[in-house]
Formats: sequence, C-alpha cells, structure tokens
Amino acid sequence: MKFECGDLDRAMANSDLLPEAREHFKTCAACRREYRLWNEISATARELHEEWDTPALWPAIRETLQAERKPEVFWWKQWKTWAIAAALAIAVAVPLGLWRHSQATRTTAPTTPDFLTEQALREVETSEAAYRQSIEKLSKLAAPKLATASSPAVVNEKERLSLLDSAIAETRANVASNRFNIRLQTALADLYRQKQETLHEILNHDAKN
Amino acid sequence: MTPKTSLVLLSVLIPLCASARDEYTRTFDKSLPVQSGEKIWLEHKFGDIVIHGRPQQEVIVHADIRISASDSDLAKQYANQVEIVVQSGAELSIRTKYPDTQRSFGHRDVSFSVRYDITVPETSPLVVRNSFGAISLSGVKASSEIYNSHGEIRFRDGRGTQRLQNSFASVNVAGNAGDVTIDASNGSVDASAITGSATIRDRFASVTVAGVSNGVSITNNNGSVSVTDCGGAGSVKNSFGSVAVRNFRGDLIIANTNGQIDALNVAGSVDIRNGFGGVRFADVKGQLSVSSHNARVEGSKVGGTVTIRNSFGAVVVDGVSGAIEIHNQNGEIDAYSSARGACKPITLHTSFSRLRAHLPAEANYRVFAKTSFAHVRSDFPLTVAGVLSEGEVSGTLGSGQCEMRLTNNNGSIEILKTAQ
Repeated sequence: MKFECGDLDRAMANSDLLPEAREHFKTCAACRREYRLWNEISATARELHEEWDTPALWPAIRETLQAERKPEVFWWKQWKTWAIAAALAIAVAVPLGLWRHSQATRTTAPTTPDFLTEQALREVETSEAAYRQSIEKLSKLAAPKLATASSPAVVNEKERLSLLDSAIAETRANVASNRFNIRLQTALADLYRQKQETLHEILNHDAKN
Repeated sequence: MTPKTSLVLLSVLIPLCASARDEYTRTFDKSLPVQSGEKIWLEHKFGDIVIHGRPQQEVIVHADIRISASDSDLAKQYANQVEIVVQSGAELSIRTKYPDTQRSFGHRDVSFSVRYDITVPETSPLVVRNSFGAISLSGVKASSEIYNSHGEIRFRDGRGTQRLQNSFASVNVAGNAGDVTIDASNGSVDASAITGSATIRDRFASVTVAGVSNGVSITNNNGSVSVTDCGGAGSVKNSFGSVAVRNFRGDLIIANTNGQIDALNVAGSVDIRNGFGGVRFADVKGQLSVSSHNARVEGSKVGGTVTIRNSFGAVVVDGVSGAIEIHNQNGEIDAYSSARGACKPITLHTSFSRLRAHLPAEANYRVFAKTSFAHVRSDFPLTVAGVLSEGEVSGTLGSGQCEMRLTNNNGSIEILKTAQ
C-alpha cells in the first residue's frame, strides 16, 4: 500500500498502519507535524483525565436552565456594547497608527521582520520552556533504552541526539546575546522539535520491536 | 475603578505595550575594484547573504544593519558600532564585526542582524562563511567554498568547482557547469542540472539529485535518497532510508542496510547490496548483481547476467536475457528467462520454498534438478540420461546447449514453459 496524507486518520486508529505512516513521515513534513501534535494531544489528554462522582450536577444544570428560560436580549443587539467597542477601536487604532507612522519616518523600515516584539518573545520563551519540559520527560523515558541501545537504528538515533544537543547548546549560547532575533529563535525551536521527534522515534521504535 | 476609566486606561496602555521596543536600520554601501580572479572572502553571522556574480571587475557591498533595542537611542548607538570590515590586498575580505553586547551595553536587551547584498565579479573565487542566516548565490562562474550552519544555502547558475558545507539547514543547487561537493549533516540536499560530478554526504536528511551528467556519489545515513536522470559512475550508500535511482546512464552501485532500494532504467551494470530492505529493479541494460537478506527481491528486464543472493525473502525476476544465478534460503524463486539465440546458463538454489524456472519454448538445456522431500515437475519433454526419480532428474531439454542446475531442499522444483 502506498501511504498518503489521507491515510493518516486511519493510521492513528489502526496501529498496523503505523510503520507505513512512519516511513511516509520521513518525507512529509505536514503529516509529521500532524502526527506529533496528535501524540502531544493524546499525552496531554491522558495526563488530564480524571474521574469523580457528581450526583448534584444534573439537578443543578436543570435548575439553571429553568431559571434562564426568559426572553433573551442578545449582546450584539445592545447599542451600548457597540458604542463601547467602537470607542475602544478608535482609541487603540489612532495612537498605534501614529506610533507606526513615527517609526517609519524615524528609521528605515525593514522589509522583513528580523525581530520579535516583547510580547512575542514572552510567548516564544513560554513555548520553549514547555518544549524543554516535554523533552526532559521524553528523555527520562528514553534513557534506559538509550543506555542499553544495541540495535543499529537506536544507535543511529542516539548519534543524532548528540548532534542535536550540541547544536542546541550552540544556538542557546547565541540566543542569550541576541534574544529578539527571529532567525535564532526559529533555529532553536526547530532543533527542539527535531529532538522531540527523535525521542519519539526511539520510544516508538522500542514499542515496535 | 469604573468600567469607563478602565477602557480609557486600556486604550492608552495597549499602544504603549506595542511600542515597548524600537528598531533601527543603518545601511552600509561600498564599491571597490578587484583584480581579475582575485579571491573574495566573506565571514558573517546573524543574517542572510545574497551574492550575485556579474561580468564586471568591481565588488559592490550593500548591508542592512538592523537593531532592536528597548529605545531608539540605544538601537542607533549599537547600530553605529557594528562594523563591516572590508580589507583589500592580495585577496579581498569582508567581515561583520559586532560590538560586545555585555561589555558595551551591559545586560540591556539588544538584538541585531545584518543582511548583505553583494555583487561580485563572476570570475572571482569565493569563500563564504555564515551562521544563523541563509546564503544565496547566483551567477558565480568561479570555484567557491560555501560554509553555513543554521541557514540554508541556495546556489544557482554557476560554473566551476563548488564546495558547499552546511549543518542544520538545507542545501539547494540548481545549475552548475563543473563538479559539486556537498557536505550536510542534518539538512536536506537538493541538487540538479550539474554538468559535472556530484559528491554528496549527508546524515539525517533526504538527498534528491537530478540531471547530473558526470557521476554521482552519495553517502547518507538516515534519510531517503533519490537520483533521477543522471549519468557517469553512480554510487549510493545509505543505512536507514530508501534509495531510488531512475534513468541512470552508467554503472551503478547501491548499498543500503535497512531501506528499500529501487533501480529503474539503468544503461550500465547494477550492483545492489542491502540488509533488511526490499530490492526492486527494471530495465537494466547491463549485468545485475544483488545481495540481500530478509526481504523480497523482484524486477524485470535485465540485458546481462543476473546474480542474486538472498535469504528469507522471495526472489522474482522476469525477462532476463543473460545467464541467471540465484541462491536463496527460505524464500521462493521465480526466474523467467527471455534468452534468445545463444543459450544462457541457469543456476537456481533455495530451501524450504518453491523453485520455478520459466523458459521460452525453444529452450535448450542440459538439466540437473534435485530436491528432497518434494518433487520435480517439467512442462518440457526431457530426454533423461541416468537418474530419474520423483526428486531428481538429469536429462536434456531441446538440444542441450548449456547447463541448467536447479537444487532445492524441502521444496518443489518446476520447469515451466513461458506463455508466448
């Protein structure tokens, strides 16, 4: 069978198709990304899963529904809401426009963005922390397999991990003195992604064999 | 705080947050003449490099120095300290020198990048080093050495011997009259339209090569390899990825460990060694030699001799014009000879599986067929000389021009007539 992107859903439901899917991932970045996200969501969902007794839940819902059975005034029909929204939009847009205009006249505007904003950097750093946490967990899981690695495939993945680790260290050292540089942050994120994928491969390889 | 006050405060705060950092761009421009064939060095970091080769004897350097800082004064101050050092002598060198952020600017968050756009004489050899930025070259008509890490390399329409080295990003070559050597460790390689040879080493990414006229040598480890419409001597080594070669004009050697191998339409001979991946071939004009384990070997249309060794996988070959020699263990054999005219010897051996030789109606062989715990069957009338039992036959088929030896253990032997 020739595996195609359309087969991904079936592969996720049927583990027999996973070897072909993995072969396909080697050449298809989109499917690889989707598979990784699916794995992450599955892992997160497993962690979040909790069960508890809620005998009072349904009566409470019924009471609330009965109490709310009265003529409804939709928020978008209220003129006050519209007025506030318009005022807010003007209040934000005018100063922002002025600021941008002043920037454009003060410096030569770059054609492509080279730098992150403060807000974007915060988000990137939060994501990086989450990535590193996830990688640490995966590394712990993979550690026993790597320590006793004997199959050529795992030895090969181990070699790749060491290559990625040295690249991550190098990139992080550069990021430390150039934090808002988009290319550096992208390179670092890409290395983390590759490391995470490699660890997944190691764990999956072990599960497969 | 009333809702009205909150709204007013929000309308002021949002733009303030957005303007929390300032960016400043300074440009650098310099032109200077160079001698014919003078080497040009460029050493850079943090930003893209675009190089154009032109039929002129002048180097034109343009750089955009971009700074992001907490305020515009700081950004400007830093930008003014970034140096583009251009030194001419026997060779021309261009270097980016960033100020020491820690020493000059304390712990304040300054970020920076420099983008180059450089026009060079097309006949000047180049040495370019970059990291954390792409390198793009076009129209370079001299030998060059390009080193990068964490940024892609793109090379277009060049001439001369090119050496490109990258790690953690892709290398893309489209068009060079001359040999190209590419070293990549963790980035994909795509090379096409090279009138010369291509020598490519990679480790963990895919390699795609097309239109190389004078030889291809590829060593990869854990990524797929694809070679299309190439010529010369071909050698591909891989470990954990597939190898596919199509339309190759020359002799070809492929070695893999754990990946599928496909060799289609090869004008010369093909030598394939694989460990645990399947092998497929078709339209091989010369000889074919395959050594494999634990996987299926199949293919059709081979002009020369076929020699195959396998274990634990079926071997199916169709349309072989030359001699056939197949040694298998625990895998069935189906061998279709299409030899016309001069007789071509056939030797087939396997165990614990079925063995079938498919011959044209006019076949002429001295036949020796032997198996144990099974039987021998023939579509052809055999003139038996000597031994005849359910598991062993010695005899002559047609005029008996050359030898056909079929041996098996615990599996049947069949000599079948190919449908005309």
